[in-house]
Amino acid sequence: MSVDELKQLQLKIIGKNKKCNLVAVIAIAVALVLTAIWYLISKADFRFAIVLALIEVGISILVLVIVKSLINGSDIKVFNKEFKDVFVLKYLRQRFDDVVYRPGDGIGERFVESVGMLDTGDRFSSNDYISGKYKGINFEQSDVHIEERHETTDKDGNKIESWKTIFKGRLMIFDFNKSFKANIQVSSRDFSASRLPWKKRFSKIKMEDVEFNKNFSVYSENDHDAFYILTPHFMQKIKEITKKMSCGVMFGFVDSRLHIAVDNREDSFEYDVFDPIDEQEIIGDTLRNIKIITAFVDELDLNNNLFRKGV
Amino acid sequence: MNLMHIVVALIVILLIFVLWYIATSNKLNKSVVKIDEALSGIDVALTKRYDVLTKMIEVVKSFAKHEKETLFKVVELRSGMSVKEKNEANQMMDENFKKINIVAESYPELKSNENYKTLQQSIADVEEHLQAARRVYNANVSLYNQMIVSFPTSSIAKNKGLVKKEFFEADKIKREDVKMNL
Repeated sequence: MSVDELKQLQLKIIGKNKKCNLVAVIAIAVALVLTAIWYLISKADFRFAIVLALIEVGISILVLVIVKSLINGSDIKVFNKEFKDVFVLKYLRQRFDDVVYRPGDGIGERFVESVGMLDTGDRFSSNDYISGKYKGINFEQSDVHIEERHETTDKDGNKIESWKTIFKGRLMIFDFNKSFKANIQVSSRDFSASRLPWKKRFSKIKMEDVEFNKNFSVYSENDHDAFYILTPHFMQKIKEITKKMSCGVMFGFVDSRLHIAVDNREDSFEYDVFDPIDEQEIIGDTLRNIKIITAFVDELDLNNNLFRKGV
Repeated sequence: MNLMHIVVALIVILLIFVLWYIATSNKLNKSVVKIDEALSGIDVALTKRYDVLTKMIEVVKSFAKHEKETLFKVVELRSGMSVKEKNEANQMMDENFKKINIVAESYPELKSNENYKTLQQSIADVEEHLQAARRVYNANVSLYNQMIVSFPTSSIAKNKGLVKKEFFEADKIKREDVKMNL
């Protein structure tokens, strides 16, 4: 589908949506007028009439939502798929080799648990799974949203449930150019996700870089592997890229692969079907999201294979 | 304040002192153990470096039998070496590595030899491990040395006969090793 066809489809969806809204407004107005007339004629209890009016409005809104999803649901599905093909997949293919893009899928909760990098909280969701190769480096990534359930009791003894986001952003996995046995976790000071599982299991390691120790926590199963991975040069690179991200970042060196969690509180590659399509803005946004992947390979020099083929 | 209060106060102070002494003494013991562990890490890395360099020397000798540069230094690694001796052995390995590079420059066929290329990649990784071991050791030594000269820990260190430990030095050649052009 071309951009123009996509715009046509969007106009069709918006048109149908407007019609639905208009019909709903008329239906609500008619219902309210009829209720008012009934109230004046029957001289019923005023409070009863108000409750009746509220029920009518509520039912109308519910019907509106159902009708909208029946009328527009399939079109919105097609729009979202085509939108991601036109504005995301196309640019992913330009930048990466062997691209696999599954907007509805993500890195699984079980995998995140097995890596032991993040606590998967009480509600886990992920989408926009991408895998591919950049400068010869295999990578996988997806958006991840992890929430914690909180329950409070009000003064009447009613339990109120609320959800607190503990991580929202990107989880990326890259081939790493060194082989190592230990599990090493490096998190920036502003990485806010609580209940980090490895904090209890590993020992805290102090590096010789005072600035690095001030801004990052390093936990590892052994000192040697932590110093082997975190060379002075690599620590400098980690400091630089984390500064550029302007958010909490965590690096997990597990099974000779580098796992990066970027807690930027964003859901990347997403677009509201009712927003006007501004091609330049959307392309710019897609390229910015893609750059988050390439930046880590480029800045951390992951394609340096100096150590990969050691005997 | 009666005598009883003074005795209780003295016992409390003595107890606090004993607990502090035990805790500090254990901290120093742990630090010594960590240094020993780090030193064994250096031993492992040095042995690996020695093995790979020996293999490289063999390959180089097979290509340049008549070159003067093939007169490599004899490096001896044995158990129980002091940090100074380990440093010296490492420096000799540096010199051998320098010679290997000089010979390789004059023999393009050596540089393109698959076995040699693999060994070059290995030496880069071995160097990284040696650097890591050195940094772990030096970080532990630095912490230990700071502890034994700081009062009041210094008094316990003196009692236990603990003395400052030597650092494992890094030099320029080692840093250059990992920057080899492959």
